[in-house]
Amino acid sequence: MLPIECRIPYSLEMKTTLLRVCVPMMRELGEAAEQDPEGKDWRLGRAARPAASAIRVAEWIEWTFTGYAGDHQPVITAPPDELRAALDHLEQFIDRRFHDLGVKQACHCDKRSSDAVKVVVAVPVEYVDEIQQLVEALEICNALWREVDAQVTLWTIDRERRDQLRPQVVEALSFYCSELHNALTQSDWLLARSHGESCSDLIVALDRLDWDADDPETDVFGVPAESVLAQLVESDSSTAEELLTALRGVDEED
Amino acid sequence: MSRTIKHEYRNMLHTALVMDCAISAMALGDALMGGDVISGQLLRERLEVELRLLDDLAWAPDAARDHFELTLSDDQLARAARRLHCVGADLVAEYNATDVDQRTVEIEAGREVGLKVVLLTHHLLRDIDASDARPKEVC
Repeated sequence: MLPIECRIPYSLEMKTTLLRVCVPMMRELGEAAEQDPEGKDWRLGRAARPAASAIRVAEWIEWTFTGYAGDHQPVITAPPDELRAALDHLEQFIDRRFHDLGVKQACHCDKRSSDAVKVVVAVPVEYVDEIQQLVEALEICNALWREVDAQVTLWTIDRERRDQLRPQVVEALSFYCSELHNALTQSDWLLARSHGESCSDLIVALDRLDWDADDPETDVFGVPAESVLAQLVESDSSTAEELLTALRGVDEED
Repeated sequence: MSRTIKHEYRNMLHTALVMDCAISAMALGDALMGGDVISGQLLRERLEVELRLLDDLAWAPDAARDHFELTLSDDQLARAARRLHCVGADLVAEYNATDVDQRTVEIEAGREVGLKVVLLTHHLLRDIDASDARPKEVC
């Protein structure tokens, strides 16, 4: 149901901090492979998934420790489920490192709350720097969790709103189908192509809102694309306008 | 798999594709307004593939390229080819069903297009069936 990819801007500090966690996660897989080259041991399997998550995160933030790979706005672009799974692995690794380093109490906040991370007591002095880095990484993970949750909530609508939007999408799609037919039969290729794109966008929108008006397969629906909402706003859809305002609000914050 | 077709073959497909795309669009609009969900979903699949194929073949008939890359998946391309095969066959059938003295220039031209489209889509479907991993030119 979710099309959709999270788009979360990141800073150079976030990138560096996350990579400091990701790299040892990958190294663990290498070490497990060295110890058990034939894959007979459980260690290899246990290290594989977290390492895969670490590689995924590193790809989302473009690998290098310093600087960005391009001059574009650096944004993590990732499917929400994959990002959540990766964050889980990162947090498990951080918790394990806390334990290995002898930190007696590592109390990090609930993923959905905005409280700061608290890590306290009995820090062995030789590990202070690493522990500080782990704490920062944990804070970033928590911030990413909150951002994913916020974006996913924004991309879904309930049955009531869907019932308001769907007839408008159906009407718009029917209109553009008719216009596409006219443009093709009149050999107006530019107009046909434009109407074809509108039809494609509206088809995807109707996929998200379900083609069946009365017996949808779910009570949670994906929000139509921004371009579709903008079209519906022109047809005086207040629901589309609310959703569009919310989506654009997020973009502006980005 | 990446497939390309030559300009002359593309032109035949384009004619049939535009005809059928116009029909699909109108039928989908009618199904939606009539609340016919099942027909709507079938036509949705058809129109989506046809629009993608038009993107590949270029919308305007006078596209100045020697080759056209087909980016649809084998499954989608086979669906479109089967559909266009029927369109070609219909054009030929229309010619055959029309009395000789009633055949217009359009019906004559339709037969020409129809025969070529039937042959071309036949080759295309055979190629998809026998496809392997190598990029190739279909015709």
